[in-house]
Amino acid sequence: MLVRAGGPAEITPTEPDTGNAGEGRPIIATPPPSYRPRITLNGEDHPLAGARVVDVLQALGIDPARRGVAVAINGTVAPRATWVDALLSGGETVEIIRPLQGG
Amino acid sequence: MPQDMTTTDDDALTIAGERLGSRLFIGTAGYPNQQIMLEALAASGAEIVTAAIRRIDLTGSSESLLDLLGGRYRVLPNTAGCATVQDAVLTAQLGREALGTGWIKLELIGDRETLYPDVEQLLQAAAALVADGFTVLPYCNDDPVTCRKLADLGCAAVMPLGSFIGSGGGIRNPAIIELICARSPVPVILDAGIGTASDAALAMELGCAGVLLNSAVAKAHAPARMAAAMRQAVAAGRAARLAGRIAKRDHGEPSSPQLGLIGA
Repeated sequence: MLVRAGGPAEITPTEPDTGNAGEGRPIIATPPPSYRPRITLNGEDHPLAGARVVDVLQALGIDPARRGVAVAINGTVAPRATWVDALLSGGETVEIIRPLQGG
Repeated sequence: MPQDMTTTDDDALTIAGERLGSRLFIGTAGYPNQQIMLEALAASGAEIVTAAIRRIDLTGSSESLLDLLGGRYRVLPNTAGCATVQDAVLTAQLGREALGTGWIKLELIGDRETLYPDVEQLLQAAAALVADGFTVLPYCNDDPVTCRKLADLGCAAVMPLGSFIGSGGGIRNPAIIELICARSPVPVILDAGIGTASDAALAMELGCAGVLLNSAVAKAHAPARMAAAMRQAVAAGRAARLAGRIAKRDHGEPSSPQLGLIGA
């Protein structure tokens, strides 16, 4: 589970859940699996943590300002300047890379 | 033949119109630790160092290679390990976005055991990346036809292998490397197989414009010392190439005067 309590990617229900309300705990919505958007992230199935690339990065603990990070969505590079625009709706294949020691 | 055979005053290697500060390109992989890598890179005198493009670690942030290098080098991304045109092109495009460079070391691996290039896919990927505006530096077979095709496609250099990647096998076919250098309209960088300093010097003596190596330094007992040796070997080999070696003879040729010998 990549959604972090209190993080920007937290999914909250539109209606209060009286069972949890007032207890000071984060409320994580658990809609039926068929309605829950998911993405393939670096080859693995993940819940979609937010509509924008920056949301996904931040939910993963990756600083969007970090040098050397690049993102591709469905086989096309998503330039850094587009990360703040709404892009993802679920079903996408997302690759997040960085340079590593190589020959 | 190198265009600058007549002068040693300004002997810089130029690729795609860019003048480079060193003819030695060095990889960043496989060093015992990061400090030793940094010492070796510094000792090599290289301006360009290579890096892989890999999926980010989702389980925790690792130290950034770019932060480690601290802007002291030009980082050349590679497509190491890619086996399809599609993967290589996307990796190159991600590398361009990540590093802000249009240069790419293009690898298309056709066989996991030998790490030999897949020439058919290499040519396709090279054409696609040249069309996309990349400065393409392809790792390729030591084959004059493949090298010529890559140059004709618009690659900025060709990088034939000396022997298997990481093998330290040296230059298995010096005659063919020399032929490739003599015919190539673009700079030839000897890539893969360098094991020790004499291999790097030989590459330059055969007419290569530069040498790209990694394991020979990273896996050496003392990487920084080997990096310094490689730097000197590339410089010595280049100087010898420019100076012009003597012809090989089948018999001895005395270098001392034959007249005035005592007892004659």
